[in-house]
Amino acid sequence: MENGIIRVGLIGAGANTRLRHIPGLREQEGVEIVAVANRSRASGEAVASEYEIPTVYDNWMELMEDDNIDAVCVGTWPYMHRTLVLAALENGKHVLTEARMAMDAQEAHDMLDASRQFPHLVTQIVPAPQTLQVDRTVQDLISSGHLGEPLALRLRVCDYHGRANRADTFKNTDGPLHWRQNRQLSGYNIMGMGIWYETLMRYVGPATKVMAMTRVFTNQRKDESGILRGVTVPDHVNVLCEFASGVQADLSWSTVTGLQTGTELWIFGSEGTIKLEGPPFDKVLVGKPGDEGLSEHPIPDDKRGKWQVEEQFVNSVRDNAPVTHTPFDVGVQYMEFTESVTRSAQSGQAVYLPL
Amino acid sequence: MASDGIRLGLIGAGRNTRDRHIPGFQKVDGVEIAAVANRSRESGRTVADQFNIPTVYDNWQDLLEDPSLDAVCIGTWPYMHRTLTMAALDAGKHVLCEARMATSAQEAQEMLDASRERPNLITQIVPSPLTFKIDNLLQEKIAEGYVGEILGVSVQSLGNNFIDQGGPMHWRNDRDLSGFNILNMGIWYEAMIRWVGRATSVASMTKINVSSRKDEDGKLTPVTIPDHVNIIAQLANGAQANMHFSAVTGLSSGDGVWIYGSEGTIHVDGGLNIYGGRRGDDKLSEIPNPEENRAFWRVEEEFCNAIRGLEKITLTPFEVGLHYMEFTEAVTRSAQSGQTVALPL
Repeated sequence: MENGIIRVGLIGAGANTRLRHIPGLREQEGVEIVAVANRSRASGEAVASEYEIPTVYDNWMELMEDDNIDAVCVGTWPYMHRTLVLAALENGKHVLTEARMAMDAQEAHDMLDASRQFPHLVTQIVPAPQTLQVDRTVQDLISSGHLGEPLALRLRVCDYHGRANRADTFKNTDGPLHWRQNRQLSGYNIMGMGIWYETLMRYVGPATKVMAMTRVFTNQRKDESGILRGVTVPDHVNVLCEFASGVQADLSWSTVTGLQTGTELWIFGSEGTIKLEGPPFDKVLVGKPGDEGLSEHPIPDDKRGKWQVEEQFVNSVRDNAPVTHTPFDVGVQYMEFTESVTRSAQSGQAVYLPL
Repeated sequence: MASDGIRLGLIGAGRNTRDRHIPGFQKVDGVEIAAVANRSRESGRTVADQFNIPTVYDNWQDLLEDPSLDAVCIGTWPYMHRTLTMAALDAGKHVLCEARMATSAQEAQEMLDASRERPNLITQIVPSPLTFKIDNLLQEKIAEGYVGEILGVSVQSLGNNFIDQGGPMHWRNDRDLSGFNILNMGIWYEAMIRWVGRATSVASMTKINVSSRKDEDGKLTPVTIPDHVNIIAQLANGAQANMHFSAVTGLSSGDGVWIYGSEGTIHVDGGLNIYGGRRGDDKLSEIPNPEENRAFWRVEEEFCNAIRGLEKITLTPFEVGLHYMEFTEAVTRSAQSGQTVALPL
């Protein structure tokens, strides 16, 4: 970190990197995006010229060897996260890695272990962003006893990722094989399951027992070269779980629930109920015994959270501020949950957490 | 059974018997409610006086020995259904038995076996009446391909009240009386299988949030029947279902059904209004459910018609009762073992 300037290299510059991380890093004082390595030199050059990044490397190994780089932002698909995070740490670089943390729980553990071998380096995963506006309010409602004892939780997620029209959430057989549907690239990750579980942990802590059934309704898709490939990442998931806090939950994610346009999260307590709906998840609905129905709970401006990923990363690098969104140990928890869903669906048995 | 007259005895005359079965039988020509046996002679007498029933028996054994009775209506709690059904069949009497069929799948299987040994006697379980109004329409819509291939099914029956700590012990909370039955799970499953057929595997988690209640004598008694149940099931038709039942979900969205198909979606709300939408629609809209197409309560009429050879029992034969009792037992077995339970058992 020369002259207080943090020099960042980008490895993998996909949509989220271009939309979020590059602008987010540029907003921070004393940060320079100095280099990029993408899947090919050509795609790296395209990004470099669009965002005025001075250096393009042929591959990530060359970027890692650049001693001028203090930190890397890993924006590849999950299958490279472990390899790149370990290499970055070994090269003395701070790491911000895109979510989903890894392919499976073992990889996530390897990454956490590596981060502990380099305590002076910052390690951060891009956090679950969908409920940042309301997280603090929900946490306060629960910890202040507004709910009484939390008893039950329900989450129904309609996954319309990649749909042109949000109303059209029927089974879609046309689309090409997306990396999210490709187990070689995504591992045990299924739809938005991991980031929703990360959100639930903010409210009710980690799960201790998981039972799941999954389906792959569209079981063949064409890849980039037009060849039909079998699909093994589920497009419909039902999960039951018990949380350490005593809450029992039913969770579902689906890409085949036509005309179910939104997502609903309910937390039922002995003395109150909380409901979130969205997107955009910008309101908190609450109800107590005696109420006619749910009503909106006001959110003070200073409690309304927002996207601060790059700011937090830079502050941590500069001042050693602890990473809250999201540290590697939390990533391990959601990867263990993610893996347990597939393990339970495969075995027909409850899987107990931690693994 | 002289000249098609049916002489009926009541065993157990609880609320559903008084509210439904007695008035229902009184509307059927040639049926006489001739006798009653309740938990005590005194409570039997009260019912007899109220409904002009000529004979009160001290107990069910005496009633079943009355050779003038053609049929019995069993209105006790589930723990007596098997015993009474078997005894009634042995005594040569037709049986209408209140729902939940039995306390376990084994009992239901024994009742079905016994009914098959007496093919001349009619056996019927009181059907799940929750969805009579919509059953025909849902069956028609699904059969005509409105939803295409069924992929996902969701059924919820969530109470609107917050947890009731310290409430009295109801027979539905008492495993000795109710067996594996939990909340209204069995009757919702019976309704669901009318539309989409049976489950082939079940995974579940259950929870007892109110762990003790006061019995009739005011004594605090542990509760072993869950008040919150989450179920995932694989259905024989290829769909995956989830079902949720709870008595602790204050201000919840109540009852509802969703049937998600490859080409369309059907949603039933808590008021049994039906909404549908097909691929290309931008939202669900209400599907009219004409009055004349709705099924209705005709349990006692069906029972008497069956005795007279005029129709076959469709709501609900013992075979279907066994299906829902197997599902019911599978839910507890899965919750206890942490394993998916395959059906049939």
